[in-house]
Amino acid sequence: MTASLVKIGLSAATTAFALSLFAILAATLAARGSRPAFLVGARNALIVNFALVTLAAFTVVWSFVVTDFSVLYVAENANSRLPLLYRLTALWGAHEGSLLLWLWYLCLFSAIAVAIDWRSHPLSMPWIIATLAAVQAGFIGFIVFLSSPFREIFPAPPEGRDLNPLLQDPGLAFHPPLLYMGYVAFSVPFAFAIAALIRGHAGAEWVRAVRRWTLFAWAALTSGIMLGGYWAYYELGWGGYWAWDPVENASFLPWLTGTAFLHSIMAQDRRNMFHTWNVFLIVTTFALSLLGTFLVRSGVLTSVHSFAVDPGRGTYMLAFLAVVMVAGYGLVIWRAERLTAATQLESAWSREAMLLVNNLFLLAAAAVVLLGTLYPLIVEAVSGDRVTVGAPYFNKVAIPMLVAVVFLMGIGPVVPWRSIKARRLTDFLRWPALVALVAVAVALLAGVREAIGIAAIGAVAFTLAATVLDFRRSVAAHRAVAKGGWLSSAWRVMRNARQRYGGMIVHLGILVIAFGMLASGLFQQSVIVSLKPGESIALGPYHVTFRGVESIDGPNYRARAGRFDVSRDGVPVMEMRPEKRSYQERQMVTTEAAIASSLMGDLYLVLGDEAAQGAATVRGYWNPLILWLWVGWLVVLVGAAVAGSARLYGARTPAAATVAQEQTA
Amino acid sequence: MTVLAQSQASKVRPWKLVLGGIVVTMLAVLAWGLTRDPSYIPSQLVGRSVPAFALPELNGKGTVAADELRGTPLVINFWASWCVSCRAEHALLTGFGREVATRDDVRIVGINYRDAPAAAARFQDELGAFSYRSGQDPSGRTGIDFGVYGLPETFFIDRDGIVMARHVGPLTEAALKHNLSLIGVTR
Repeated sequence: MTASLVKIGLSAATTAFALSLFAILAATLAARGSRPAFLVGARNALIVNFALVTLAAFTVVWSFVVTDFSVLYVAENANSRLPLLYRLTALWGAHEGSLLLWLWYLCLFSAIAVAIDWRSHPLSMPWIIATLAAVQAGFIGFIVFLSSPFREIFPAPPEGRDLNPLLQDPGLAFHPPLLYMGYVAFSVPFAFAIAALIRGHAGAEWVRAVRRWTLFAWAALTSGIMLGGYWAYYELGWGGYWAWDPVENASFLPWLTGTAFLHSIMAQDRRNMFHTWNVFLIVTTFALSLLGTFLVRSGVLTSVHSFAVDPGRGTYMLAFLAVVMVAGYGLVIWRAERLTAATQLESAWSREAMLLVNNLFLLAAAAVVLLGTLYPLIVEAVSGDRVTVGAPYFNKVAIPMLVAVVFLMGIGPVVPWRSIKARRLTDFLRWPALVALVAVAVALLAGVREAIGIAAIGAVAFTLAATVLDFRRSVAAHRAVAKGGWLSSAWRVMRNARQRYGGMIVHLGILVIAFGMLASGLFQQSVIVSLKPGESIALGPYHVTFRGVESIDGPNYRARAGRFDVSRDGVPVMEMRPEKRSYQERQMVTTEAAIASSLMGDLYLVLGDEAAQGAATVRGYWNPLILWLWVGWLVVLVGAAVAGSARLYGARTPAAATVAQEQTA
Repeated sequence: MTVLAQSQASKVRPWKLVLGGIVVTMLAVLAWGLTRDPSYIPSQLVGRSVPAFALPELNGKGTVAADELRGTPLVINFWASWCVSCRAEHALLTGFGREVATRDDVRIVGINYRDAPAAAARFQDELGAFSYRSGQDPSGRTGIDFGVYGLPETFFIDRDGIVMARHVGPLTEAALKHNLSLIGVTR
């Protein structure tokens, strides 16, 4: 019975493909001849496509729910013993379903975008619809013709394969959909930019329309990356959260350029500048999102994350990427003269100049990461030699640029638009500079000797002080006028300038993340020792005493559990029990690390081999402040939500705009 | 003013050439990358000593350690139950394993990479048990030391413990023969 269900899914997807082609044609005709009926038809096609693709995705999900192994994709990625949660998340467990999820997001966002901006952007709408429909056509065509999750097998196997165990983990189960959400949401700003380019009219309207989309895409991408790091740290258990794997880089690249775009559109909104630059950035961000999908799915670069290599699919995706890049960058090059900015930089010490410098650093970081990721290919193409690029390269070239960006995060927001007198700027930055010096001195006393570590500590301290002082100044100014208390003034300042202070909260979150990275990177302690019962080791602030190993019985395993008393300043605080389990039935051994996580740091113990007289090998780590990485992530999300709730400067009423200008001046 | 504007318009601005050049180069490199056989990925390990490892054996009875394997040419195969391509090389590996058991000039071990022991057992139930020992690397820590990118991967180590070759992707009869010759083993 259910076998016919995926047939319905395939028909729905095929119809959606035809409709997307129709939408491209109708929207283009509507733009050429301004025929409203065609445009309405094209819009409706996009909305119907969302329904069709939802239905198509549902048929696959339902096949997983009822474990219908006559569907090839289900048989390859699930079996009857797999819990329902992982049968649902198995949708994106492999190539075909991942792309279906990508497409579903695309259709959802397309439908929302055309519904929201239908009336506000009448002249751009035909081209926005045509662009979104073209991207849809590209993906649906791929799914229908080359990578169909609707394929059936006959006879159906009695049992399916297991889902990749890596994906049988809540952290990893939700990492891909968040990442994809970020990738795909950039398609809406991309479509607006393409429309603006085709019309040769890239004023400030389009950046205002896409600001929330960009914030949303950015927050989703950030969350996807952070969740991936969380999983790597807690599940893989090697103490790290980022390995500069090509696939990790692929998600980091659009994050870098997307961050640049998020900042530079402010200059277009406020000062009517950076027109060409902004369209360039969003085309780049979207192209990098596609490149990320391409790299993971084509096998051009092998990575832990990619397994199936299929040249046919790779060729299709490359052709698709080529169309997007040639059309996008081609339009930028062709239309650049029409996009000349109305205003020029007035001073090197202005918000817009700071944004430009920030953009250049972010873009340079993206360029070196991209170069490092593709370098093995380039070298082999030129000389035939085979090389690999590892973490040392990325740490050496990308980290200094990111430190510079953190430093700029401190200066940029306190510098007003247009220009600032040198005197006022030094007034603003005197205290942050002092705080940075103190932090660097403390770091030196604490034994930090790496230049980049010291620079990073200085930058974080500087920017933290600058951000807090800036807020304090705004509140003080508000109090001088409104005579409220500190708290109520702080609340009002925050509420009146949500875009600005949302951004500042995001900055604080990034600082918290940087703080956690620095502390855990510079002050990690690790030991591998053989301990006899009663012996102890010092790890971080803790004193860990080995009490011995005992046998315990689990439901389907026997385990040897190490008992460790953990004390702090002579006071016992907890007992930790890392285990070595042996599963009788399968005769398998697994190690269960014990992790005690707190805001101060994580204590991490693993029980190794046992020796004579009750001795055992023990592996222990102290990762200070590493939990702050994920605290910072939450702060970033709060900030993004606050910023997203604000209306833009250019979209406000003149009166409100004046108030806001006073707030931020 | 107008003359200046015209001369600017007629000349192609440098940034446009640079941008166009980068786009074309990148697409060309990626296109070329597609034509390449992804199974020959270089390894920084080649020419160096094999990374030290001591892993609990998959059957829970002992350890698979680098030290005890010194002195004889060695083949190390990284595999996992979730790795589709590993199924393609399974028959070749088990056959080679049976052959190795009868001779003393070469040895082979497996490393079960980022896998659940129960799933690894099901894999062997389904396709046939390996005829040699496998160590388990559930966290992927040893894989990181070896620079494992995508499974399956096979490393060929000579009698002095120097990594001589790395093969990415399913092994074939020809690739096995060729790589074995690099560590002084004829088949």
